[in-house]
Amino acid sequence: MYLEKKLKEIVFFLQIDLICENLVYFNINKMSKNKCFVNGASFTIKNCGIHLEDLITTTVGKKKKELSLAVAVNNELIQKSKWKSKVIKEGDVIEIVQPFFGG
Amino acid sequence: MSKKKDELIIDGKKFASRLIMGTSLYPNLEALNKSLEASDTEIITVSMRRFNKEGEKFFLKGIKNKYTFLPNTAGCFTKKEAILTAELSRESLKTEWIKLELISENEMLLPDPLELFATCEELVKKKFKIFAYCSDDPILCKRLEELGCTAVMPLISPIGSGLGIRNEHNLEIIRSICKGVIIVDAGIGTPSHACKVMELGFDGVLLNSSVARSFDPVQMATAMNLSVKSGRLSYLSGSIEKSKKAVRSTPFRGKISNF
Repeated sequence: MYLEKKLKEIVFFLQIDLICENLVYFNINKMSKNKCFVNGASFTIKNCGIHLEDLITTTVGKKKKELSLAVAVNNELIQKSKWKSKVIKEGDVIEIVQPFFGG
Repeated sequence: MSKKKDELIIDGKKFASRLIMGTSLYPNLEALNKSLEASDTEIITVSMRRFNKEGEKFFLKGIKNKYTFLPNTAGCFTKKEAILTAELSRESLKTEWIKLELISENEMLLPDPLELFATCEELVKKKFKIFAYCSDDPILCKRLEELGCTAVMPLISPIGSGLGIRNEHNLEIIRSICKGVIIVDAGIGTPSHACKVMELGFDGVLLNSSVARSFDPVQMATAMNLSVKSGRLSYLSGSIEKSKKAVRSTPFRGKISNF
């Protein structure tokens, strides 16, 4: 009788544990959705997507033309002429670089 | 000395100065600008880094636009990283020039010759003008030159070490077998090192730490400028042959008799 009670308790807690685990997984999944990564930081993509040009303006500001920027998406150079048409998708990795001190 | 102008010609462009300066590690922008001015340099190196406000200040307002930029691939370990960095720099600075650095480890920052050669092959196909930073191996330098590098840049000792020339004989061999532009990069500590390199017949010197980390960068930049010019003049003048015995300079003739 005692063992049966204990066993029920264990099963109950295991079920709770499983529910919690699923909740955490659900939240992580939900959090990583609609995100891309700009210079190592996560960036939320609103609606269906964002054009690269708009993402650069959001990150850098309107001065972007003066900054000699260059951009890569998923380790591929995206030429300036294609910034307007390039759509950033969930999970994309964007690097926005500029000249800096160097030896 | 010949009256003909002694210019450094790289990729069809003429330069009066044979000193290429790095722009890193200076205490502040003012010191950097004054040092560049004092060095008489015309070519400066820059890196490509993630956008940040400091970088914006540096590039927009910091540096006079009279210099020719030589972007580098500093910090790259792999061919893939270096190629993307080169492409980003070409897009950003509108230059085909790339100082190709591919290091093999973090302690000595020594260049990885195999990765470097493979990357050079790829970048040559992509029409880059490569300034290949490499070890002081004569055969590697020759191979890089044959591959089509615009300039070959052997180190004389590890980056930022200030140790100066470690293997003068190798440098002599490099100079004798490579007919193109050979610029010494990395390891210069004092103006005498720069002068010695130029006396060996190298086309130029690239340095950064020895000026930027000195107590007085502006004064050190002046010293480096003069030493590079001095070494070049010495090379062009043709130094005397070394002798194990003394060679009299004042003639004996007309001397009063011995007593």
